[in-house]
Amino acid sequence: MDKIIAILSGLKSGVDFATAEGIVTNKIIDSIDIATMISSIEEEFDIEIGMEYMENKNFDTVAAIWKMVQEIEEE
Amino acid sequence: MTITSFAFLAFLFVILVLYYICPVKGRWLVLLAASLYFYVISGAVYFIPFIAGTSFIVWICSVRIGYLYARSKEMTSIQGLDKKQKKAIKARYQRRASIWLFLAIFLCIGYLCVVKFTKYVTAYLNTGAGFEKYSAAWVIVPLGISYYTFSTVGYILDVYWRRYEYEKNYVRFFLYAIYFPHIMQGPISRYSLLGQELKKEVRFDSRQIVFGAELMLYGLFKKMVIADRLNLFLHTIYDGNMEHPGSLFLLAMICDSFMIYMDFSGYTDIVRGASQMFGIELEQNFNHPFFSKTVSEFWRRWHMTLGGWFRDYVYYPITIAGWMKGLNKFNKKYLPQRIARFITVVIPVMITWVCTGLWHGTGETYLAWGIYYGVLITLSTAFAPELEGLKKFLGIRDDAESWKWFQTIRTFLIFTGGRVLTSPGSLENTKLLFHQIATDFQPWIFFDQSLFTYGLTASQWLVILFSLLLVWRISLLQEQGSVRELLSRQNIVFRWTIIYLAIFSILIFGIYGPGFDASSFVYMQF
Repeated sequence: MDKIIAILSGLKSGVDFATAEGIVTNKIIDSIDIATMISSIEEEFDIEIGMEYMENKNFDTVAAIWKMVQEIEEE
Repeated sequence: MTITSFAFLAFLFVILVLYYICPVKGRWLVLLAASLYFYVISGAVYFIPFIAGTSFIVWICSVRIGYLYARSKEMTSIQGLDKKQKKAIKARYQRRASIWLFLAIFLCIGYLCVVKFTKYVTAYLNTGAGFEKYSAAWVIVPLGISYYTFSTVGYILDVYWRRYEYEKNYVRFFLYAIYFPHIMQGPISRYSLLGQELKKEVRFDSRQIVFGAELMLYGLFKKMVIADRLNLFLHTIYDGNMEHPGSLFLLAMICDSFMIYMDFSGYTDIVRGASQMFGIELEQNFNHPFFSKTVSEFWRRWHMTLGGWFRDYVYYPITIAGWMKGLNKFNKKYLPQRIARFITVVIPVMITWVCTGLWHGTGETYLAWGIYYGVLITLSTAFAPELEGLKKFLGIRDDAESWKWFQTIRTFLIFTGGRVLTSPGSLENTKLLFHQIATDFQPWIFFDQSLFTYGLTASQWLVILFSLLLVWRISLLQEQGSVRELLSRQNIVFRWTIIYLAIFSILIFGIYGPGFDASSFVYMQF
């Protein structure tokens, strides 16, 4: 999860992403940041995020992102 | 039948009575019958077989996709298969599903392209012929085709991307496609939301009737008192004569931004209010966009359902497409980090904005409009560090009120700049408009009474000014919470005084009558 926090912190400073909720829903990061974040997560974890995961609920908290990464890794 | 007419109000009243006297389980059928009847009396009977046929094919495609996914799940659950074999089975079924997806999208987007582009293709083919060799008259333009197409394409893509299960009952899906409040001019409703709303067993609730009626009144006020009145002025200025004084063009540019907002958000309030009376919530389409501080924020608050559609079904698919990922990897390896990031941003943003422009219209003006926003958003992202540095250098604090006002006005002016690419009718006219502003400004028309000879009298301008201030004040209250909730907590005399004031202001100050086409909502053409 630390790696995910580091990626998010690189996108926007001054936000405590470890505790942040509604990262996408509450527009803490915008769609351009999301594109960068996806590319970084894919590179970091060597996974491919498909369109079926492109929903706010999968990116709203660090825990949700981590859960999604694990799900993709298990596939 | 237009939604600002008395005929529509009468229609709504009759349907509401029928809806609530019908048994709860059958109420959705009343909405279906009402939607069909709405098309009949709107003179769009031809639309019904079109929408029934295409929506049936889209639904069949979604059923097939659902069936293939179920088979895939069944096959991969067989014991003894390793991970590689399961992946291969899944990929095989996914490929088959993609054929059904392609068929549905080809049908929907294909017909939308026929509607939007045929006149340009035939005009091109007729060039030099001297007579009309090819005609575009055979193209039927169904009511709300763009909104219908986007709603159904969104549905089939979501089923394909396994976001939700396909709808098992075609008639329910047909209601979603034809539901009269949302089909003409949006909001572009997601099946996951509107589909579920239409399945609710709605019970009579006087509160939702009152809340719905209040929202409709507010929408009617914005449309009939402000937008239609501003149009009297704008039709006089944007009449093809590009020799008006530059000061008038400048005023028209600003008025045009307010007009389009009052027109479109007014429409949305009317249909959302009407739908709320049936207990069916339609998605929010506007969230006070003129309070935005950046262009990106503006487009998250303006025509939200269209922006959301392009983000989810165009921008994200491009962002995570294999070719885009490959390009990003290549760029990261061989180009400086900043340039690589710029390319990551520019391609999906530009494609998305050009598509958004073409959705609005297929001429050069809308293409320019799409490029305008694509370039602005890309540049603001690419040069964000420099802009931040400049801000620090100038000692600007984010929380300073003056800075917030500057940002809000700047965003409004950028939006106005985008409107001026399309409103005068052609890029040539836009050029002439700026030429007039630069060379023939004539500021004295604001002081010598001649302003009042362009469609609106002094008292009409006062009505507009007062009404805009009122909407601004209500918008500020809405930013803090629901105004209708606030109103419902007031005593009965105050509450009904406000409601009667709203009704009478629409009756007295609304624009009606011959010679003025109050029916045309600007976004209906899309």
